[in-house]
Amino acid sequence: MSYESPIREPLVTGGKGYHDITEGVLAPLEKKPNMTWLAAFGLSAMVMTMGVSLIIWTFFEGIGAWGLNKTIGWAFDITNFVFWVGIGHAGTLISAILLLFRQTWRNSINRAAEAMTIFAVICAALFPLIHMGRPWVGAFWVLPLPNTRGSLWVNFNSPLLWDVFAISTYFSVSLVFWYLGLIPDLASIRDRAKNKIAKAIYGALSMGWNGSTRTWHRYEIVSLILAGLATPLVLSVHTIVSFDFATSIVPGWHTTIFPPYFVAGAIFSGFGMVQTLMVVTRKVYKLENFITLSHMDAMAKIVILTGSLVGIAYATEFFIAWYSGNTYEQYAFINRMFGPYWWSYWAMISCNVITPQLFWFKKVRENMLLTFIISIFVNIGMWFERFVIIATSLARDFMPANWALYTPTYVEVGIFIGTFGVFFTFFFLFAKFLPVVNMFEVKTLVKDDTVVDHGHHDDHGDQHSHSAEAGVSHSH
Amino acid sequence: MKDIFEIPDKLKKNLFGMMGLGVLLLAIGLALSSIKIGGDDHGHEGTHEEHTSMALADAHGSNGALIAQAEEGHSHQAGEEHAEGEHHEEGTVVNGETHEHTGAAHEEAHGEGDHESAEHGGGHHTAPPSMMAKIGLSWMVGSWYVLLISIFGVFFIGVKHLANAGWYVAIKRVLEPFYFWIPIGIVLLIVGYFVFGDQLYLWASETPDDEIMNGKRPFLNPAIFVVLLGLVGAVYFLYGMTIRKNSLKEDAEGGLSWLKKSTVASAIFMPFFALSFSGISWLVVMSIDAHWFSTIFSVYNFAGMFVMGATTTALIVVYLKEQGYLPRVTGEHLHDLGKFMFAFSIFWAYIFISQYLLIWYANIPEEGVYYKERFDNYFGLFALNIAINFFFPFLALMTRNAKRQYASLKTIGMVILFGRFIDIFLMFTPGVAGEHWNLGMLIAAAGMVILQLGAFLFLYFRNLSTAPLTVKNHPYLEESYHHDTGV
Repeated sequence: MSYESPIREPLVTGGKGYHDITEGVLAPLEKKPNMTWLAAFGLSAMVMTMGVSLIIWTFFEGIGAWGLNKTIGWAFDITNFVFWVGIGHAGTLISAILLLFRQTWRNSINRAAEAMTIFAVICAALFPLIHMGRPWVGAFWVLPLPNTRGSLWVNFNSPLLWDVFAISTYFSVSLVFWYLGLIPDLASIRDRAKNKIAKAIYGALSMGWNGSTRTWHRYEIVSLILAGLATPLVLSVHTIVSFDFATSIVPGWHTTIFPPYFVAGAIFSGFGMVQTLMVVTRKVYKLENFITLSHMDAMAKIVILTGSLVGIAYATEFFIAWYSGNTYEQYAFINRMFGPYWWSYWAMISCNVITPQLFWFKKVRENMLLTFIISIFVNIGMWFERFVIIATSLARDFMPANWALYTPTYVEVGIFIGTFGVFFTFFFLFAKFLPVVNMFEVKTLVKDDTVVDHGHHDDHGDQHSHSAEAGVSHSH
Repeated sequence: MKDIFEIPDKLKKNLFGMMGLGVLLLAIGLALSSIKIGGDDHGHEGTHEEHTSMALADAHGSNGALIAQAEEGHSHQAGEEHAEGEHHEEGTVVNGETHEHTGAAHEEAHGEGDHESAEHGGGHHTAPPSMMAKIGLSWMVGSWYVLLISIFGVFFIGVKHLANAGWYVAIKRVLEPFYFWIPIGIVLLIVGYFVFGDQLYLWASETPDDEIMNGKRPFLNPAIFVVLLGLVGAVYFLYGMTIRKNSLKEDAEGGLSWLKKSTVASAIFMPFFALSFSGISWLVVMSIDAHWFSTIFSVYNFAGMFVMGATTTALIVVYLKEQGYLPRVTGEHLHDLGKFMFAFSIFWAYIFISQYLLIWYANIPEEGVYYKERFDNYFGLFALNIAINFFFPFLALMTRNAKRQYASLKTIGMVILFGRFIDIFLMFTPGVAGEHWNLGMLIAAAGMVILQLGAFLFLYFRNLSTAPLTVKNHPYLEESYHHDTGV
């Protein structure tokens, strides 16, 4: 059986037993929402409402309400799309790849990261949809539906169409994976629920989970299969997003390193967002014993790895542009650095390549304030990366007569801010009504020798025996 | 249980046999490739017509320079090269400068300039390669092949340290001696460059009319070649040596400090590795097709490096197990090595398709020419490459047993190592020999790989036998003994 070296830092600190995990994770869920939560939720909902209003305005007015022009047909919208899709990748990496690699430190962060994935993909999917201007007829453009227009089909040759399939598959698998992981914990909540409505809702959601050996056995097989299916998805989604650009002949877009570079960047941005959320969540929900400093340390290491990979990709692109001897390529990169959008390029470099290097130091990795700040820089930098790629390349195309610049209108900026409202509204709802830490998986990490003699729990009038909690729930 | 590896006489004999076989194959291959010149010319005429029908204006250039040359009235140069190929087989490297005095020959030969333009697209060498070029080709293929395996050793140990991995500690000693070959491989490449460079690399000679080529000279030049490769050799070697030294000290003295020292060394080494590995793969391999470029190229080489390194490691572990060593290494460890072979074969395919699909899709002549050459003249090998490096390991290593049983790992591992050879051969040869390649060259290159691999393994086992096969006092050793892949 597995053995752990004594020099490794424990993944659950504070001598927590099974029951402490249940109590610790479910405390915010079973209490009435406090003012902080209500204020944060209310603010997010307001921002979301603003975004939705501006989307409705866009439908009413047409995408002329945005700052796009004849030269720059993709800008804020597609930048935001790629930004949000990228953020989703950390969840899939944690849930699928780290599961296959048997990395148990994923156990306490996977739930929130997977939730983040789903919400981020929802925000992402919004942008191509509204960019169509008339999404209600969009079904004919993006879905291969039989239609009455003769042999008019979607363009199977287009990576934009592959994107539709890739992202919808990704979303479905992530959602199923996340929900599957929730079921045993939902059953725990059901069993602890004090009021009837909560019991009924959590009971329905937990799908009659009874915690029997057979149920667990099936559960484990399904998780492993889903992890196997989700692993290629981590690569495929952002690979195809990169194809949206790289299959073209636009200098700065067409480069063969795009697929792995986009994937690395996606994981980078995703972990940046996970760090941002975790620093806050562990503090507010007092989960420091479950999401420990060594978890934050491990995430910081992934950020520095992927950030450096992205940095190498920038360097490679730049070097090969020179090496190629192709004037257009060379110009595209000089233009990125010193052209009209120079500030976005340098914002990207400083946020993505330079600041994450601070994570080389353990002191920084374990300082939550610095981690939070650097993770915000990562989020900003990765947004700028997509803006740099999309807008600067289009702004200076092959025909100088077409050269143009792009300025977003308040509508676009508002919609982008609105997606943060969408994201956080969902996230706060999640954090209130579902356990943000995967309880049963964290329980596998502790050796609870208090099961028999840890007496103080009886004071709580808790009807559950510890052994049942270890198995997550009673069989009924 | 014996823990110090003693080289059995049989192994010594086999390794010398391997080197002998390598030399033999090299000789046979070179002989075959020369004998076939007559036949080759015939074949050349055959493909010649195909090319005529396919010749397009855009296929002319492997780059803008060629197009520029055409515009400047040098369009007959391609024809010259061709003619030169017909009449001056031996030793004439076809570079910008050699054209000047072969113009006459060209006019006597044939004047169709159109088909050569298509051929020219592929490589700069339209003439059949000289004997020196063929030896040089085998030399570089063999040296790059074995160097990649030895680089895997240091890279893998570095990754494991940075990831705080425990499972591999039981096979750590198997990985440590890989570094020993790195300076040898680097010296072989540098020697190869100075002896055969002008036969292989367009940039090793003057190319006054080739603007694109000249634009790259700040990077593609002998000084950078020697300095960068030398630096790589020195740093990788020093890092490998540090790890080895710390590991032996840890055996003797114990404590946590050695692991920490090695981890810090790995953190310093890894960024250097990431940057320098790109550099050497551009210099040594990509610059063979001197006008062509691809940003993913170093990642492609990296993926191949990982596959062949993991495979070699697995084969060595199996061999040691069969000899009765490494008693605490179990199917679990082999399973994980097998997973790496499996996963990185898929990763290689992913990188392959990323490069191929994007170049195919964009259809830009200066990039597409790379695959056009391989389609026109190497299609069999090209298809075999994908079959053997992706479909085969993907299917063969899918099951649990395939990753754990000695017999299956050995068979699959051998096939993968052969597949890696095909891939590397396909990266080097078209830029050197173009359509004039033949089976002899493949055999010769295989011979060189086997020769160097034999030498590598001989030194490897000698080095392996200088220390116990199992580390002592490593903080994660016990974890590795209890390693469980969970399936």
